[in-house]
Amino acid sequence: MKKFLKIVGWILLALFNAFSVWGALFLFQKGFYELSVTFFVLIVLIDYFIFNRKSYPFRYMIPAMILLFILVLYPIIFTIKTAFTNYGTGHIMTRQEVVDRLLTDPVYTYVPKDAKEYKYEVFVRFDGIEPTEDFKLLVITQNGEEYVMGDIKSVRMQAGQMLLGEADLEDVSTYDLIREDGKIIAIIEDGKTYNYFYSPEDPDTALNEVFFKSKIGFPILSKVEIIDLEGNRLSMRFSDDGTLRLKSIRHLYRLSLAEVIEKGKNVIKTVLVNDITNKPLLEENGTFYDFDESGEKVPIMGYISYVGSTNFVKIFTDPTISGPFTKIFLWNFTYAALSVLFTFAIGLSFALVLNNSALKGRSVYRTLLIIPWAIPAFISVLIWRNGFFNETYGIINKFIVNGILNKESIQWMTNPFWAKVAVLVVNTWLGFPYMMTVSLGALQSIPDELYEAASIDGASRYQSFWKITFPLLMTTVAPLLVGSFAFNFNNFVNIYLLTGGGPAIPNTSTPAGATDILISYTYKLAFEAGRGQDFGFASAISILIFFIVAGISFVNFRISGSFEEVNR
Amino acid sequence: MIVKRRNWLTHIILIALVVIILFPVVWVISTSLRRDNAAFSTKLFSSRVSIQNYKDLLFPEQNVLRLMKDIEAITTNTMPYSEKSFEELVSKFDRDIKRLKDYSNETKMLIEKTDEEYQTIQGFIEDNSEELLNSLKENAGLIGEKLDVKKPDDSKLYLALNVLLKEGIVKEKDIDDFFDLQIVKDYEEEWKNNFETLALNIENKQQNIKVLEDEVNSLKKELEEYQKEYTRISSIIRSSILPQFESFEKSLNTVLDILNSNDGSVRAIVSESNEKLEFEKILGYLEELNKVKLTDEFSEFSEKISNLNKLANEVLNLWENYPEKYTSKYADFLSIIRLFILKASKQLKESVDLMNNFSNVVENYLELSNLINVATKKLEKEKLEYETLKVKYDEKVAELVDANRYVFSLILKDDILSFNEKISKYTLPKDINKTYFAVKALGRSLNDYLVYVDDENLKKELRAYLRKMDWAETYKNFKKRYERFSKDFKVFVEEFDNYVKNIEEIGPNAISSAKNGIKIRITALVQLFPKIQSDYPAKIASNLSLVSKYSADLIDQLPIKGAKESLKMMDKNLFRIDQIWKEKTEHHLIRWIMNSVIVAGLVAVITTLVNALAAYPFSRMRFKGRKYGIMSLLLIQMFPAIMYMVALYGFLSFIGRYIPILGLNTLGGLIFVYLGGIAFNMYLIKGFYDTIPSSLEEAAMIDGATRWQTFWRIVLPLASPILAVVIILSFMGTFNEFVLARIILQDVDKYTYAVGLWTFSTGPFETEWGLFSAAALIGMAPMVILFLSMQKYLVGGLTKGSVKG
Repeated sequence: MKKFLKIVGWILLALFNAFSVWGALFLFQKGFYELSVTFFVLIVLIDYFIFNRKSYPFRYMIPAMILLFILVLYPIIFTIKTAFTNYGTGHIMTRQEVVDRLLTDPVYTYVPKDAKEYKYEVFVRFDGIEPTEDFKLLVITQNGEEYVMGDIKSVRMQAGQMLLGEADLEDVSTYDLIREDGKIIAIIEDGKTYNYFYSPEDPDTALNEVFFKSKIGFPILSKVEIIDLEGNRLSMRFSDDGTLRLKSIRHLYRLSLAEVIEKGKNVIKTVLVNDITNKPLLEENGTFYDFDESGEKVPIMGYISYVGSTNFVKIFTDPTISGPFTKIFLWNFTYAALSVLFTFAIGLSFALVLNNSALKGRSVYRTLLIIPWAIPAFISVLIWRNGFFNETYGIINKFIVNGILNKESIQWMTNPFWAKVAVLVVNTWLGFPYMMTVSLGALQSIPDELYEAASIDGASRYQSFWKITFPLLMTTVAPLLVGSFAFNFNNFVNIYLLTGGGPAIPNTSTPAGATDILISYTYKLAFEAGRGQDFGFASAISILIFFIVAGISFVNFRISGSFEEVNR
Repeated sequence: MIVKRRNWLTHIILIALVVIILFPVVWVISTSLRRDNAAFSTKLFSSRVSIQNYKDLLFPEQNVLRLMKDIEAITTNTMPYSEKSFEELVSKFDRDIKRLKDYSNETKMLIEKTDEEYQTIQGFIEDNSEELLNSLKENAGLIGEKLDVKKPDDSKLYLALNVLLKEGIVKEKDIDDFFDLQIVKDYEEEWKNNFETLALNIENKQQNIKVLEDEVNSLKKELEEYQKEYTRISSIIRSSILPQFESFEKSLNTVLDILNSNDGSVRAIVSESNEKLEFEKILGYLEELNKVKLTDEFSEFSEKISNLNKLANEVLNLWENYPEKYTSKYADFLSIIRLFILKASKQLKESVDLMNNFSNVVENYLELSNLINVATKKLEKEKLEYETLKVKYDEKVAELVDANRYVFSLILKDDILSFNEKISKYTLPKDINKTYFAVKALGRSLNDYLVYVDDENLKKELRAYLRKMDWAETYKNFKKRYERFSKDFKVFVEEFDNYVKNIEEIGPNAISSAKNGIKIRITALVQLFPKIQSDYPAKIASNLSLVSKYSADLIDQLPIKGAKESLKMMDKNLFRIDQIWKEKTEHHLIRWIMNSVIVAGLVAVITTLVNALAAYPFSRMRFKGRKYGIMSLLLIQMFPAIMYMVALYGFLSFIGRYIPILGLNTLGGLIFVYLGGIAFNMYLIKGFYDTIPSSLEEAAMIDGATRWQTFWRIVLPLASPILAVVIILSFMGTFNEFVLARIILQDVDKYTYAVGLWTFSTGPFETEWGLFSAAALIGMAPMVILFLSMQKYLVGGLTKGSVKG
């Protein structure tokens, strides 16, 4: 039995290895290089842990490691790599993908001056009286020869959709046809009947034009290149009168060898050449440029390329970025520091009051005061934003500012100062119960004898607080304060849900706002497409954040001795 | 004794603070129970309470419109009924029709009841007609008592009357009862002396200001055009012309070099045609450019031009005097100069045109801005003069405020008398409209009087008396709206019944036909949709909601209580009617909560198991990298997790193509991403393992158990309490996560609770506070309870030096 289990185990391991290696190779082939490397490292480590007796403890960590490697380490590596690229709006695809696109995408085709134009007729299968998208295309050449378009073979796919298809012309005699006065009115294939539906020359079918254009012509046929017997490529293109015509087309760009100057040397390499002007495309800063008639550069498409430390350098040198960045950076520190200060001041005050054992019902007070902490933060923030700080309907403006104080409404969301006040109020409300609980715990651990001794020596309450309570409290609470600072430094949800980082800082090239902290700024750079995404820059900032927070926490661990605890 | 008193004070302060701090919670609870729209209400709390918000979110009623949609699906045999048999369909259809009829009957009954209540209210008003009218009289009398009727001296009084007449504030017929118009006429001369010229001047100035403002605006618009042109051309100069000129400069310098060295050792055949002529043309262009005046902004550019000019002259000079026009150098020179001419001549010609255009623009621009300056100055002067005149005039009028007040107090007093007289003849509810107009007129003349009262408190007091008469207006509207509503709605329901009957008859036929593949939409049903969807809200619901509002207002406003019950009943019945008939948006709250529970539950269980496994060696074994393992885990968590999404987003969309349940916009994908947050609770579990005595395991191992067995059979069961805690903790953490879910999930029915609640606070739902607060409370109540019951562990875990703060 034991032996059998062992064999099953080995087989499973072998299968796992085979599957993982295949997966890693597959990922590599699809361009996920970092992930693929992560996979390989993972496989090697796991096998090592299983085959090496000495590393027995690590076997327990294999599941955790798999998750950690794929979901944490790989993203971190990816982010670090991205920080040195221009990945973002306009630079989404790799160079190879962009070249592919330029060579195949129907957008980059043109109709040459001596283009051939073939007549065509569309035949559609009907479902009851409704036309369907199942169709046949009858192509009539300039000499009047009739062909039927064969099946569409997809040449290039992208994101599950056909980017480019090809089809041959088949002789009309291979199909069953129904003719009336010599004109084909139906095509029959495999028992399915395709009825004559539309032809741009036939005004009787003008009614069907909309259906043809929107369901067949534009979405399908404009992406298909029909190759006739002479090898011409034909495709549907809009003509001047708004109808779709079947014209011979040429691709705007082709690959060619050319001599280019690269780093001061003449190099012969493959470049993209514009088919009309015969000029090679220029590649600069991860973008392909073409030239228009007057010789001006026109950007066509960008690709992901390495930009070195540009993203880091521009934080400090580009005035439209460094200005707001400094503001955000300073506000981030102010926000975290003030949050800690306010929450701690209020929390400690409550703790001092509630620490009095003579006070009746203090556990009730404690429970009630903890509720702001117990409510999920995103719910509280939404309540505050929607019900309290809304500029028009919010009850603070409606009942307190307009009502009791009889003043103009406060612009909580559009005035930078008041937006900051709002953010701090909410954060203090959310955070003081934690400080209260923590302080209460710390206060209870201070022995009463100290106070007795102090009072015998004639110390006042004020003195005994500052000389006994506070110093003893700080020894336990200080690391937690630093921890709270680090947490608030990255307290994304509060800022994002309350003000969205707004109001916007004027005169900047990035979506910076007056209440933005670094992490919300990063999020906006990376995920809010309003001004275009800039993953590269966002990654650079998030690495900065990491060093700041990790630095703070590292010092904190040292102070609180968390590492020593591990060794116990 | 002292201690006790202080405790008492502490309690008061604590309670006050707790009330302030927990106010948001109170607000959420009260708002979620409100029937009216809290966002637009002027009251913080409302007594019109209902749990409709919760019903709508949790157990949405299949009201009329939803039933109709259901019937349409049945009769056309579409989703979700496409697979059902004919019998099933018919029975479902019958049930739906029956419910429609039930709704119709319920509505009829409600209207009947409401009509009754309305009659009761009418009766109540009739019974108390005298008393109600008396309260009006009483308030009017109170206003009369507070009036200031000190008579000022005649000169001021009659001057004031003149001003009022000329400004059109009062008419002659208003005052001829109180004053002798002849004397008023006598004072007209004095008015002319004091006011007439001033008033005329002010009017003149106003006109002047308007004309000037128009002028400035049109000039500014023109200026803007030039501004645009200026920036366009200057950007062309900077970005394209200047660099070109620099290259010209270089070429010319090269040429000069060649010309300067005339070592003619190698001969060559030189064919020179009209190059010199062409070059002179270029020189011409350059000279022309040199003449163009530019702003200081382009001093660099001007320098470049004059430099080019100089260079070109030098070249020409040397060229003409070149001694050896047969050398190879000269040939080289010529070929360079030929290319240069080719390059430069077209460019320079264009530049000349552009620069001429540019200097034109600049000239016009300066001229225009001068004009604007002049006009603006004029405007400012006029405005200043206007202000001084106005101040003067106002000062003079202000001197007359006592006299004005006197005039209006007389008018108001008279109005009060006639008001009382009129009211005495009325009986309610018959004469409610007349009463309303009388009150309105009284209010107008009171407001006229209040303009001249400075004392804010008095103003407030007088307005308060007037407000006590508001019920007349409210009741008038209430009556009018209800009668219209009741009449319209009865017709509406009758028509509805006919339609339903029609649908009931044709329904089974339509179903059987649909089963055979011929699907038709029942005409009656098709016609009924717009009736409910647009006729009902436009014609009926608008009156209904007004009646509701007025009846709630009347409860507060009526000076005699007693109709409260009936008004409340009416309000309640009308609310129910609206719930039956109105079009309600579909909410997915239950779906969202389910999604959240599935996601959070799975994530909690998986991460806890993985953690429990991984924490074991850290607690029981000594191995290399133990210390740094935990340290690096803690450090890794400092990396902003949001950025993981850049990498994972691409990965998810890729993997979604092969394993659909892990893709973007799926719960599977979300769970997968959440699993990255595993390390959070490892520390907690490890701490608990440490407290389990290892002697147990040692004993087991002596008995022959393996390491794995001791872990699985002994440590894990013993640690089950902490595992439960960790499961709940990570459940709560995941339940509350918003950002990643927002990025990954796109379809409304795939949202988790957090993302869903967020949609309730934005866009069209921003002011639907009732729904929002109910949804918030549904989500937050269990979380608060869980939290409070887990307090001990939470506090312990957090103070233990863990990183989450």
